[in-house]
Amino acid sequence: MGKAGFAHLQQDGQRLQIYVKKDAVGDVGFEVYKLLDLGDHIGVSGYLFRTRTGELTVHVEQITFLSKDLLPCPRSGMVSPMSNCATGSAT
Amino acid sequence: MAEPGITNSTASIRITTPKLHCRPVRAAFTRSSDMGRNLFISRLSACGQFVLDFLKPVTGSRVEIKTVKLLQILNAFEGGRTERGLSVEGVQHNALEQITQRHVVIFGKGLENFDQALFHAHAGLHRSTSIATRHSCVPMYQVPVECQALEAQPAPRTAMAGGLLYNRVSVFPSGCCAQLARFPAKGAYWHSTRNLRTKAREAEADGSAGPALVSDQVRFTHTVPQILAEYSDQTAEQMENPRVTVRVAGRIMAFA
Repeated sequence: MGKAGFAHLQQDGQRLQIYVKKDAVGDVGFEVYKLLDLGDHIGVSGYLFRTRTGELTVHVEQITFLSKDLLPCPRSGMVSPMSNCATGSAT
Repeated sequence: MAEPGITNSTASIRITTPKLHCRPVRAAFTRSSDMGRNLFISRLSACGQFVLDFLKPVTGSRVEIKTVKLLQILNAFEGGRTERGLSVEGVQHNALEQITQRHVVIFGKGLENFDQALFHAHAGLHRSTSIATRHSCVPMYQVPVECQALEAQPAPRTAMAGGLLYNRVSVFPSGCCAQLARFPAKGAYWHSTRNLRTKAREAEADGSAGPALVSDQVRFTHTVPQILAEYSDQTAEQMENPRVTVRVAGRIMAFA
């Protein structure tokens, strides 16, 4: 992993792309970003911009780790009543 | 078919308990192979004791003795010692220690903040396990009403390690809260969290608050659907002047 990365943040079934850059979030914040896994809950703060492809993205300036995902998300196409990953109802 | 009282040589010893009213052992025994020709006679002494030759298969009333090879007896002792050693070795070096280490690894690091809450009758978690409106949905602990009085008290001795407030081993004031005394582990967790929040609140008021890397709540300004609804139509130039700053929380679903 280099000094920047993209990720998709999901809430209420809709996804928003975030852009995490080491110069913006700092060394410690970027270390936290590198420790994240799929399904983890985070909070980000930053400004909106559009990438070259025209996708709406949040340029992250502050990242907050909220909670770790203890159970693996189901695979694509599988809908589990015990998990909100596939349905995308994460708040 | 062998007659009663005639046995072949085998590798075991079996001695039956003679009864008191039984008759004395007869001195004459025969072999099954050459019965009648090669008689084996054990001597019966005058004092009532009889002498048996263990090299020959003999039998008698209530007493049955068979020849056993000496090496077989040694093998039996050696096998028992080896088996006993293996069982003790397995218990001492494998099972208990590995289970203990695994337990420490899982519950000591992954669920550090739970403080063994699962082992208590009252888990201490909030009924909805989530913070109400305008916050992200993360598990939180239920704080008793009596503990609200602790907010007014000054924080006990704390330790700063690398800029991080660490107060997990602080001692509660005596008689401050009965419910916290019943759940000291969760109380310590809550108390350390309260100190962290108090410190963060003070730092925020002073203006010296840094970014909170790890927290249990985020005061977001927008939700993801709101952002997509409001700014999907705007161009890059419109979002640059002026810049739109948002604070949003969610779940990571993909890395690019």
